[in-house]
Amino acid sequence: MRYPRGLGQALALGMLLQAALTLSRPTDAQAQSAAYDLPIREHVFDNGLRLLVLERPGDPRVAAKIFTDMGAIHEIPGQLGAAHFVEHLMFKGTPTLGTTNWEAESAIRERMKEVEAALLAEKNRARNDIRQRGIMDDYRHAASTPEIDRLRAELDSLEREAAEYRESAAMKRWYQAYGGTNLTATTEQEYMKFDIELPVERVDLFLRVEADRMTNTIFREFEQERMVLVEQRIGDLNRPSTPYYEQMNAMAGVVHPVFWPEGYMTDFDEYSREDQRYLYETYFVINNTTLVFVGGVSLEEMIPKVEHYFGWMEPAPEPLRTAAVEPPPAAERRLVYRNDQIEPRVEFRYQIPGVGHPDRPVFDVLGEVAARTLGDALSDSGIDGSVNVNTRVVHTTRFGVPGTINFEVILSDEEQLEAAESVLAAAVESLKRPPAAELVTRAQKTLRTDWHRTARDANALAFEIGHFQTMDRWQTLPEYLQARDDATPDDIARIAVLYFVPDNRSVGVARSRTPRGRPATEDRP
Amino acid sequence: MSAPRCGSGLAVLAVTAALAVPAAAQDYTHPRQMDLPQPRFERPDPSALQLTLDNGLTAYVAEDHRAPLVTFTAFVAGGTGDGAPGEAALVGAALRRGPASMAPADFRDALDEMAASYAVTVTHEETEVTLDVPGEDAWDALDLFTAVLRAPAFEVADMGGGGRTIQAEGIDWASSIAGAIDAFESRLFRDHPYGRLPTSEERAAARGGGAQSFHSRLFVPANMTLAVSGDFDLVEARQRTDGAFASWSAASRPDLAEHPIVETSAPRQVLQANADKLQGWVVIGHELPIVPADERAALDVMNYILGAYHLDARLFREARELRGLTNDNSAFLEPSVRGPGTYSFHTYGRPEVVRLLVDVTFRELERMRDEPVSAEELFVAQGALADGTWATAYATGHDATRSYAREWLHFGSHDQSERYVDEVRDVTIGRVQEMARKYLHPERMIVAVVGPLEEIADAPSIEDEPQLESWGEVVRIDGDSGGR
Repeated sequence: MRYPRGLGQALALGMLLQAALTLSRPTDAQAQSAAYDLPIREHVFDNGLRLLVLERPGDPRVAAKIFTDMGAIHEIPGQLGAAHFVEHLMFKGTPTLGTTNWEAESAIRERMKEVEAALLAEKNRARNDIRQRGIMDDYRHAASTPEIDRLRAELDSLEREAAEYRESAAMKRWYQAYGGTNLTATTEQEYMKFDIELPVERVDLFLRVEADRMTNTIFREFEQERMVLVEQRIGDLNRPSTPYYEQMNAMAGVVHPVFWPEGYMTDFDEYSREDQRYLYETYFVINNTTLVFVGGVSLEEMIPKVEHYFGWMEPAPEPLRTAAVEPPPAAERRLVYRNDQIEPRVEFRYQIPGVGHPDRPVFDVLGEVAARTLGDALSDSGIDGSVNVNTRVVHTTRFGVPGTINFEVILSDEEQLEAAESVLAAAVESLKRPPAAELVTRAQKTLRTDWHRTARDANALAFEIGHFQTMDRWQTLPEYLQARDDATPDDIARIAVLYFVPDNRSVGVARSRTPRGRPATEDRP
Repeated sequence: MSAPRCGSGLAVLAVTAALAVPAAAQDYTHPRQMDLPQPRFERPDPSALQLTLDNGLTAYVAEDHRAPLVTFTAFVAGGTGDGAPGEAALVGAALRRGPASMAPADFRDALDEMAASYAVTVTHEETEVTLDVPGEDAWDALDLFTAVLRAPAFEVADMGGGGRTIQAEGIDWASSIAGAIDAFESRLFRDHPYGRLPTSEERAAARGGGAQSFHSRLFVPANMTLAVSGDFDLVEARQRTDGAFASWSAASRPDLAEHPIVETSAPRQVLQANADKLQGWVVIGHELPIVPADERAALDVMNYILGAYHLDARLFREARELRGLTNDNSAFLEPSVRGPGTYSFHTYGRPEVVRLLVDVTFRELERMRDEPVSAEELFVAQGALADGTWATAYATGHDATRSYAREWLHFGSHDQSERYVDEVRDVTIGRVQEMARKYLHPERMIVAVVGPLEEIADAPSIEDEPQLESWGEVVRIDGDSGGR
């Protein structure tokens, strides 16, 4: 059995589509890199919507994604996690999907707007009290007043009343009924996406649902979904490494929201329908949107379909972007995190440029080389530990969002922390000399093969295309991959010398609060 | 709430207007009225992929040009339920070490040089070995793959293990749902071959030749199947596969043990372990008997509606969407072929909602048995299974070869996959309820709860949900009497 790559699907779309191909702008900026076989085709509609298609003729299914250039970096302090919350709410349906009687339901929702306005006013009035009492609060002890309680109860009551008309999970049900798989959504720091994989014959369903979702979402089940976010957050916090990494982020960056966590417990209580709607209506606009398809569809097929479902939308004012620019690090920082459940570890973290900067691809090769050399160095030193080298924050240079690379050694014996830090320092220092060519070649092969595993999966590939488009531009992706292959040992040494300087270093040490066999020296706050 | 934001469509320029028929406003056609066409996809003919060697080995070979990679997978009928305790796990360890002809470090280096992905998985009834490499290394990798399958590195000196890692190191209560799953399975299979752990004598016996014997008996061409897919020429790949395995001597397929079916009994047991965490984790379930071929599709449909791992199941809707209690509440239908499988329900949440999660789960299990599902639920499940789950299992060369290889290993034909879609389409509402009544027995399910027990017990009631002890006999499994 042959699963073909080169067979063209029958394109019985006639003269109009031929004309579409001719008039699309700019079309077929494809075959950027034969080595990576990424014939991405693009069409930009007049309302600003961008369509990217990577055709795999003969594939029976298509991975479809809609990316919006809005993510966690657009949140404000006190409401961290709000972008993620918008994503959850966008599964709650529209006036045409998810209700049995929109007219009746909408009257209740108008009343909810009034009650929430009164609630926000009361919270504002009591804000100083809340601040005083809320300093050490957690989600179970949120500050309140009798009036806040009353208004919240009324909102709950109205939500229950509106639920009489609810068709739950309508945004998911029809995808699944018609063969949709890999249904999910993700909120990253810079963007949000909704995903589905469908039989190619049913790609219209994606367009129907997503056009509705991005324009008409109703924030149903608001309180329930707020608690789902809390559940996700405390699930993260159950891992003792989570607070450690968040403290490292807070130390590695000074002002940029890319370093903020996914929400403190006090933040979840601050989400309001009004604020969520501001995020939704500001950023989910057609000229801030990219559609990505990978699979058995063609650009020619997709243009009129997309036009039908999205062509009526008018462009909106360019959404606001964060103005924060991370200042250059000016001093070495050191963090000591104490927790009896965390595996002991030591980490060096450096700020590096994001995607779009010519040095950024070289860091991937450097990371692979470093993982190997650091692993060997630990072994040679008799240190029992595992090595983790990664770029914990991967962002774009275009918008000034910094990235970081971290070198982490996780130990089984806390007594080896100091020795491990010495080995780590020496290993990072050694990167300033050109590594052996063989080591670089092997690292490049690993990266190339990992990429091919990504490209084998239509969903993963569509994600990468959209990821690069929203972070920088899709054309950067093949260039980025090729630049990794082209990196030389001298390139690695050059960036190590440039970036791995003491003032750019954040050192993290995680250790137990009460080391075995020693009396506790410090108490919990 | 504002009305839908319906724009005028004025931004659509004349050029594009001439190319298609843009909607003047948003197209609100309901999905059911969209006349979405039936997918044309049909699963590939398995006989076109099948390659049968003279020694009895059955392979499935397919080109898959999505990326310059090649994947080799071997499925062997034999797992931890077979042989003496500890033997299968030691075979797994030997397979991970590489072929006997190479030092383990050399094997790891060879894999690293190829940028290979290599995995060995041992379950109750099956061992799977997968090697994924760049196409340029495919035939060197095939030699390595063959060598490790035929003669893995049994070296007594530093072979550890022999039992499940989680047991060998003590149950890791802190590692989320894993602790509750292990508590459930340990209790369900405690007197069964699937749950046994080797004694020190048995471990020594396994090291002293038992594991090699296990390998010699079960790792034979007639007792395994291969899946080979990737960026290659089909004729060459078939020749290479034949060449690599043809010299492996034929041997008759071993008599594989049929394992006894376990059965929980009423009253329920409520297993509890304390964990100083922010959430509590819950597993509720019992055994799953061997499912007759003519019931698999209907059982899948019932399970899909109830709780299969997706975002529109009853358990998910009731616990997460409508109540906000949890991030997930899902069913795990895990059938076996030669013995008992499991049918369990997993959820977790903050301490104050754990009791309600248990209550809601039992309510939905009872509702599934007591009430017919709706026509819409059936329609959604049938579409999801036929056009979604099943289709993706055969959509690429990689997927199809794996699906066929496993089917052949366990059933010796492809009748089930051929009939599956029609059987799904034929399921009726009555048949769904029949499956629920046959395979769901809430009255004798094991309930495993791991979490901050005192907080769970002390939380105020939300919907008059009972304390955990009301669901059955409480058994503390963390060595603590509980003190309550």
